[in-house]
Formats: sequence, C-alpha cells, structure tokens
Amino acid sequence: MTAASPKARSGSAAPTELASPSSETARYRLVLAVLTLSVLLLFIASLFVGPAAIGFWDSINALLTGQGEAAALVMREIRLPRALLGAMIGATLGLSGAALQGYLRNPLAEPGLLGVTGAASFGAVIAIYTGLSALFPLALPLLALAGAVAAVLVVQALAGGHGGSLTLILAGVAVSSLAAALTALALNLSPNPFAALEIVFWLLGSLTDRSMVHVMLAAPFMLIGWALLAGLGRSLDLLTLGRDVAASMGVQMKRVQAQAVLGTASSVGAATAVAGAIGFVGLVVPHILRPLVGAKPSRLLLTSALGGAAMILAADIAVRLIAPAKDLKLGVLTAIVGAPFFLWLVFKTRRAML
Amino acid sequence: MTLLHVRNLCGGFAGQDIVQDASFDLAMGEFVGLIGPNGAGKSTLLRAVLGLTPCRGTVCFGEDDAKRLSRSALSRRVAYVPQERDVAWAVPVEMLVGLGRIPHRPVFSAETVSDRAMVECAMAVMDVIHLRHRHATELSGGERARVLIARALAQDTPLLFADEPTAGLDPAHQIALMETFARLASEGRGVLACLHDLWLAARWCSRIIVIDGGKMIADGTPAEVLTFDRLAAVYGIKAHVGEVDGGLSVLPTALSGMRHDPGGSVQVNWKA
Repeated sequence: MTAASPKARSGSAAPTELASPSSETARYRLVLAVLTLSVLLLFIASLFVGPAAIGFWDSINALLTGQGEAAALVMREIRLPRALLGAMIGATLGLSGAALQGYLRNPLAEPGLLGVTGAASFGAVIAIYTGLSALFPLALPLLALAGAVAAVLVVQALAGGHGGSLTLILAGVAVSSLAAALTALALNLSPNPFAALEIVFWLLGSLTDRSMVHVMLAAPFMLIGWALLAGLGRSLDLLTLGRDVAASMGVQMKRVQAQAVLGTASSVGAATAVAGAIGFVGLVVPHILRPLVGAKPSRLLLTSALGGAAMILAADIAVRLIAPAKDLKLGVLTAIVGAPFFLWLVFKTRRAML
Repeated sequence: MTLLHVRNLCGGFAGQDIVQDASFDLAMGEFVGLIGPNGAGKSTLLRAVLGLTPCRGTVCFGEDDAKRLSRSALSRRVAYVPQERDVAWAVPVEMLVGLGRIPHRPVFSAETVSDRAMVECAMAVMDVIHLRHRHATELSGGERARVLIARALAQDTPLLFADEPTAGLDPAHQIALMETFARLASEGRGVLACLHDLWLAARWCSRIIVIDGGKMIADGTPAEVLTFDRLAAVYGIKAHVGEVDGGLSVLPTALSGMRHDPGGSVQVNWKA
C-alpha cells in the first residue's frame, strides 16, 4: 500500500509521533506498578488492623515464625485469611466486571448481572434457613457454590446457542429475580427472628471471622475463573468494533460467551459463597481505570483485578477502623461509598455529553 | 485467479431467505460494486458470504471451502467493514487501527515493527494520521468511517468487503476511497463494496452486480449494467447516463415512477 490521500496530511507523521504507542504502553506499566504497590501496602495494612492490640514487630514475628501463641493465632487464623480473601474477592469482582463490560460492550454491566450472585446468595440462605450451616459450617459456601452452578447452567442453556448478549442479560435478570424472590420467601417463612437476622446479616456481605478453610475453598474456583476471564483480552479488544467485525476478525462468539459466563460464575460464585454479595466494586473499578489504560479492554482486565483488590482491602480496613465494635458490613460500606461515586460518574458523563 | 467463488447462496434470517440463489466469482484485480435499492439484500449477501448469518450454498475462498476454514483462517482471507460504525469504547484512533493486525499475530505476542508499519500505512492511506491520538468515539461520522476502513486495510487481506463505505464521506474522501479500492484491486486484491452512489460505482468499479428483491439481476461492466432502462426498472429513477472526462457518468435526475414493484412509489398530495 502507498499513500494517496486527497490532502497531503500524511506529512505530519513526525518521528516524535511515532513514539506514541510506547508512551501509551509506558503509562499502562506505570498504572500496573502503582496498583500492585497499593495492593501490597493495603494487604500489609490489613494484617495490622483489628481489635487485638498486637505490636507491629510482634505481629510480623507471630505471622512468620508462629511464636507467641495468642498473637500467632490472631495473625494466622484471623487476619491473614481475612486479608487474603479481601484481595482475592476484590480481584474477582474487578476482573469479572471488566470482562463482562467488555463482552457486553456496555459500561453498566457488573458481575451480578448474570444471576450468579443472587443464586449463590440463595444457596447460602438455604444453608442458614435449614440450620445446615449450624451443624456443618462448610454447608454454607458449598450450597452457595451449588446455587452459582445452577444459575450458570440455566443462563448458559438459555443464551448459549444463537442467543447473543441480549438473551444473556435477560436470562441473568430472570435468574436474579427468581433467586431474590426465593430468598425473600425464606426470610418470610423463617422459623424465628434470629434466623431471619442471620440471613439478613449474611446477605449484607462481610469478611469477618473467615478462616483459611474459606480461602482454600474459594481459591480453586477463583483460579479457574480468573484463567478463563484473563484469556478473553484479545477477543474483548476486537469486540470494541462490534460483534460482526469481531467475528470476521477471528473471534468465535460462542466460545467467548461460554468463557465469559463460566469464568464469571466460577470466580464470582466462589466470592459470594465465602463473603456474601458485595456490590459496586465490579461496576465502579473498571469505570475509574478505563481512561487510564486508553480504554483498551484487554488492558483493563489486569488493572481492574488489582484495582478491585485494592478497593476491597481498603474498604475492609475502613469497616474495622470506623466502627470496631459494631461489625459494620463490608457490603454496606462498598454500597454507601460506591453509589454516590457512581452518581458522580453519571453526572460527569452527562456533562461530557452536553 | 479466483479469490471468491459463490454458488447458489440462499439465506438471511432463520426461515426467511433474504438472498436467493446468488452465484458469482470474484477474481484478483476486480473491484466489484454491489448495487440495488434499500432492502434488496446487499448487506445480507456480504454477511452470508462471511458466514455471519445462516445460509445454504457454496462459498469458497480461493480453493478452500468456507465451511472448512476456521474463523481465524478466514480473518486472514477477508476483511469486513460493516455499515454500522459503532465503536464501544473511547479508544485512541491508532490503537483502533492497530486492532487490524491482531489476526496476523499469535496469541500473547506484542505488535512488531512490520505491524506498526502496516498500521501507519493504513492510516496514511485513509488520511487519518492527524487523528491518531483522538478518541474514536468523538470523531465525526465521516472521520470515524475512514478510521474503520483504515482498520480493515491494516488487516491486509486478499479480499476486502465494505458495506456502504462512502456514506457520510465528503466528495474528496469519497473519490480518494474509490481510488484506493481501485488501486488495491490493481495490486492483486479483490474488493466487493455495497454502494448507493451510482456516480462513484460507474466511474471506479471494474464490475457491477445488481441485486433486487434478493436476486442477482445483472452482472457486468458498469457500461453494460448501468443503463437508463435498468436504473428505471430497479430504482424507479430517471438517470442521465453518459460520458464525462473519459469515464462513465451516471446522474440520477428524477423519479420515473416506473419501478416494477407497485408498492415502490406512493403518490402523496402535499397540498391536501
């Protein structure tokens, strides 16, 4: 190909301008470095926040060597799993939010859209309602995972064939509504006020009193989900141009849809199973980071995972600092901070469009 | 050499054939204009050949049956610019054009120097270099159209399909685009474009296919196909067909009221 433009504007391609893609890449690396550092710092900070007054050096000593019995117990059995789960759940919500927004080509998509969160919550509610969780603590996350699996099977069966993204959203809305209705029914029929209260508190979403067992339970599902979602980068970039162009450029739409749905279900199902529904992170994090990575969907995946981890870690530190005695729920805080922030984003978008 | 071989292609949407029994070949060096009234099935024909819509019949790219080609193999044979110019995210123009190189790259590999050169060249050809840092979502319609065509040029395929590529472009960029397509064809590629601008099709296409009501009704050189009578029958227009500056010129001047389908023209009394 040779240039044959109507006006010789191509002459403006100065060598300095040719360097631009690398400056875009340099900025991406900077964003990644800053986010990684924030996650590390917040993770460490998360280890040192809690009701038990343990000195800084004692904590590190207890965590690494296991010396000092009470301190080691607090660090290894309470704070470490809490920090680990915070980072894992945050990464899951950020990554799946970014992947779903890219796949559906819609900035309003979020991990709960597929009905996975609602169905997993309902599974957990069943465990509490029937008293199974009191007999056997792992029944709660296991039933929640079963709920997530059931939701994804229904959604994928409805939207899997020639469905496309609209059917996927509709199926997700249907499953979410049904799960919400059944959860309400369980509350309605709950045997006593304490059971109802326990259900409501669980639904608010929290990382309090989770153990390494929860980490071990969630980790494999999250890793599978992350792998599926992280492999979507190239397809999501091509989807920027629309579904037809993406298909004409080599994207197998059915496979991409299955990958997005299963990846979200596996990781978000596991996150909901161990911590309850935590809203707004998956919606807001990709929004904040999108302009920083040139809006390229593939670059938004890893950055949103890190951003989500940082946000959940920060929020979980905040709930412990704001009301140490009241057990303020993480999901409540993310919604209280997230919703006004989202309003501000809407306001900003509106101003940009006028 | 034949780049595209289509026989008895029928299809469109489930249970309804928009395109009926289309058969044509496209050889290296040809710039084929696909013309016909709104709803004739031009876009559906392109989509059917690309396998984007359910269809029956034979489609071969070169020697290879399209059914046996994977989506990624197909993406190195043909580039497609649809009518919709919708870009989902505020991506910088040069990143958008760079997407055209993805079909040529193994997974997880970075952009190479030759990829970069191809992108620069495609941007230069479509005159969008000065837009390189702008966001694709904030361009004018015509500018965005040129950026999206540059993306397809960067894909560097033997075949190029474009659906109404000249719509919304100013006359200079329309002519430049037609010259670019004609030159790509002369360099050994094949171009198939749906067009509504008969004057552009008449002057720059090497061959014209007319489609009406889903059927191919004419296929030949512009001079053979674009006759007064055929334009009257297909579009219901009166057109001045002649020669200007050494090339065929078609200038629609009025409705003829002669369109074969009776629902085609409705009399409205505006004074009533």
